[in-house]
Amino acid sequence: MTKTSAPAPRASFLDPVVLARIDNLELLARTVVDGFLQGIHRSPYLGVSMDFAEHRPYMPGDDIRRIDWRLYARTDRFHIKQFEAETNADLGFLLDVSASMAYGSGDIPKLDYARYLTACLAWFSAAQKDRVGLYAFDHEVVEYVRPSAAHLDKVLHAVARVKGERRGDWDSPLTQVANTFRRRGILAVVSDFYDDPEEVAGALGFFRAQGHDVVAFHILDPAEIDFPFAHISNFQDLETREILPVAPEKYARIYRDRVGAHITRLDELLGKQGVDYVTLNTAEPLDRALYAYLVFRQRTMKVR
Amino acid sequence: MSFLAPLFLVGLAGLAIPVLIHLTRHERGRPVRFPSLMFLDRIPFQETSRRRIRNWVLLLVRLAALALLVAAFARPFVRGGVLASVGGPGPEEVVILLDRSYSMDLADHWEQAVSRAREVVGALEVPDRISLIAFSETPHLLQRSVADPRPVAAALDTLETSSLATRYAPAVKLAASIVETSTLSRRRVVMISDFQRSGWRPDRDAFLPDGVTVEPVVIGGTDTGTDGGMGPGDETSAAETPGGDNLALTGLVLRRESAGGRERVAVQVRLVNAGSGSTQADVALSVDETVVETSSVTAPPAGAAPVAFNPFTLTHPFTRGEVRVSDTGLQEDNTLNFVISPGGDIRVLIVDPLGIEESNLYLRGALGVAQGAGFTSRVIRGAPGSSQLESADLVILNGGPFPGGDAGDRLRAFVAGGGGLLVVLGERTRVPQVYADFLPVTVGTINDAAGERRRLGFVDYDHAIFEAFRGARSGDFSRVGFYRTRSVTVSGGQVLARFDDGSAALVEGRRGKGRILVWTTGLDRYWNDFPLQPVYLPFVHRVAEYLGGRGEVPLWHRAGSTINLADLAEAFGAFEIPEGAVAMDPGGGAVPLDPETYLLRLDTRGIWEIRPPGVRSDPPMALAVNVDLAESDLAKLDIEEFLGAIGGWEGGTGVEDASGEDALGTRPGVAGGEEAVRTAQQAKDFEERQSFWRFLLAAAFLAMVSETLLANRLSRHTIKGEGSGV
Repeated sequence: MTKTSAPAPRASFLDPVVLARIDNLELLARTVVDGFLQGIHRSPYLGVSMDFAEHRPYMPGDDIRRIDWRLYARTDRFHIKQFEAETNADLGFLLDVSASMAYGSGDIPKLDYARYLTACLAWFSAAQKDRVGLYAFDHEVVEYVRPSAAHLDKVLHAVARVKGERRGDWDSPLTQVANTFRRRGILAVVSDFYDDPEEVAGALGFFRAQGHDVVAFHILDPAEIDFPFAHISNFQDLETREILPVAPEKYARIYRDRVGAHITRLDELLGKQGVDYVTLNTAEPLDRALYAYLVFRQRTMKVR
Repeated sequence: MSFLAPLFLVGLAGLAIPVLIHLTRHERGRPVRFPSLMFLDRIPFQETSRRRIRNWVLLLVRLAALALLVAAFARPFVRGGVLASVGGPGPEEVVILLDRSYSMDLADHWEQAVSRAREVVGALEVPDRISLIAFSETPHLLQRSVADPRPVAAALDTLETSSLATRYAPAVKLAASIVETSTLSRRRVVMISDFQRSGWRPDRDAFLPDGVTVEPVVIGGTDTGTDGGMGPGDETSAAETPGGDNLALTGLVLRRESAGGRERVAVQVRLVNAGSGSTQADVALSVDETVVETSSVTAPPAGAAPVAFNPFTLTHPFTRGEVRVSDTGLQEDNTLNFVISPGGDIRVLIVDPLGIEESNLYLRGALGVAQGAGFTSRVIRGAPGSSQLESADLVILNGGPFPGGDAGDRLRAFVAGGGGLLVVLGERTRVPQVYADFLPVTVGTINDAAGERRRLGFVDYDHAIFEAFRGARSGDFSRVGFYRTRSVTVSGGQVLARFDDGSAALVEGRRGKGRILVWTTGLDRYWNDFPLQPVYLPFVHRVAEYLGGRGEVPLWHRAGSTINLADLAEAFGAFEIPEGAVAMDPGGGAVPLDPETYLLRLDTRGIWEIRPPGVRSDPPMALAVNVDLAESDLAKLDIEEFLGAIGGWEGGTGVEDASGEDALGTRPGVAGGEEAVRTAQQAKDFEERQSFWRFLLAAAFLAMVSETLLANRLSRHTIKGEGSGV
């Protein structure tokens, strides 16, 4: 008997390039989550505060902690106790749709990757009986779906139609979120965090102070990490439209150092605020994000 | 320094382009879109530094490349100084036009001309090409654009003068065709000639293309003699004629006369003296290469003197005669050749319905009046017999019916055998049905002119009968009045004359070897007043000669003319050119005859013979050829005017006489437009020779390559510097 807790091997249905071919976000989310959970051999239902439903024979991959040892003593067979999951937590997605999220050096722009991630987490959470809501924002909230157990479809539709075209900002949209997301719940922030780490940490720390659990997914394109440009070129900021001539072959190392420092600073400051911080590369499959969220969710439930 | 296309220099304004780009460009190509510049804001290029020109060398190289490019397109050239010889003169296309007309035989003109041609050939350099055209009436291209001068020199060794006159226009056209197709940078036409005025007739097509230099080499001095030029027939010109004294024979007249049943010929010529002093010369008449008489004649200065010889007896056909004068000038015009054959009387048989002499008074009278060989006529009544036809060359049915039966058949056979038949339609003319197709007309009713008398409204002056009446005051047929005619319907004949109402007056038909003429009115006074008109006599003679087989046989032909031997033989009468005959020129060379056309070009003075194959005892057909006496006029052309006409005038320095000196001196005055054209042409020549644009283009290319290398190097250097400075 082996406890499977490590991320599953890379599956084709978790590859962002493959996912880009699926138009229906719900189908995409269900495919990804089911595949992910099947890969890690874990039950899709989590939680401890649940009513007993029935017993079923143990199957490899089931958590051995859920074996009913009393029944084993009587029957000499392993059975699993099944419960009706019942968490009733509010899960709000803060999806950054600023113009910088539209960037993509490969096949998948960051915004699409964020869509897939949001959709998968929303579907997963809805199955968990969480109430899911959405705040899509750039320098203001452009899409708002109130958290509800019946709003999965609305969330998915809103995620599907947002576009990354405008300048981004944190102050105004987070103020709106703070005014509407009052019930204690979970906030999942999906962004590229092109802002001062102190400001980001301060804004998210505000939600922590209100009692929300916050997880921050930092979406990064490979080009943003590696800066593979070779020739002297003019670089244009997608949000401000500012143009700067840059000699990449001389400044790439400096750039990478600065990006690394930025991530480190975010991790450090958000960690201090109790915010889970996960960096995601759009070239990588979604399983790591899902697994990180799974860990985060388990931990937050234990805390509760 | 000048420019052939100075407008291209406007392109120098483009020199500002690199500077402006350097100073104003803010962006480098298409920007790279990136999510945020928050990590790049400390490492941009310094725009302010870009606004300064940091690499002056690079900028200067770029400006130099552009300037060189613009200068190359502007086609610079230098007129004087050392640079004018840069690139060398370039290869030259040289065309030698060598006059070989017979006037070049005067003194040592021909030797001078050949010598000058050799000098031109000898002065050629390796890349030059040369053509040689020998011309007189027609140009002959002996060598075309060859790089090796040896064949040209060899052609000059064998070249001789001809018997023909000078014609410049065809030679200029041929030279133009050569230089037009030449790709060499320089083109020159060297015209070596005595530049006779008689050889030039302005021709718009005789024009050399632009850029061709014409170098006239005048043989025999350059005095144009505009006041003193005279032709052999111009006896009123009195001034001095350039080229020295020259005697020429012209105006050959032969007068036939009968004496004792034999035909005699009296020869008369005219001796022309083109010189300034009175000249005495011996003029000799030779018959069949035997001198029969010599006459000493004194010709007045710039005048002419007649020379008459005693008649000689004409004994056989194709008798050859020659009149020669002793002269040290031009030799070709000192001799006149002629060929004459005995004419004999044309035997005319007049068939009269009444058979009386009075009814044919005018006709017989006309036939009886003839100089030399004439006509013998007799009048018979009824149908002609066989013996009568055998002794006749021409039968005239004067108003009577066409004979029927055997007589009609005999008459038809007579015509088919070469005899002539003149049918004069009268009141009693009847044509049996069986001979309806024999005559070229169908005879109709008698027409009386109502009111005004009829006149002849159309005469075919191209026909041999009427050709002599073509000229002015050569016979007026319009004065003849016709009261009565017979209407005819032409069938298979040619109408030679029509009345003013359109009806036929004279119709010709050919049957076998003979000819038939139908005259639709009378030849006496009953139906018209023709016998009373001056044209009656020559008309009757021409008709009788035409039908009797005596054609117009020229005594001599002009050198350079082309004749149809078949027509000539027909004019001789029964003479036929035997199959396989060849023409022998005066030098003894055989000229093959084309049996289809029998065309023969007579380009050599003297006696030509048409020899049948095999050995014959009878004298062969002979033709006399004399030179065109227009060539005897040695008056010179105005060379400036001539060069201007052919488009080759290049100024006074280009014209040389045989001594090599400038023959024209300075140009007396040229219109501004011509000057501009000449200047433009000279500029083009300079530019083509120097071809500086090639060097400039190569330099521009090198500058561009240098710019590329330098720019890349500076770019790498700049990157390193900026990288270390961050």
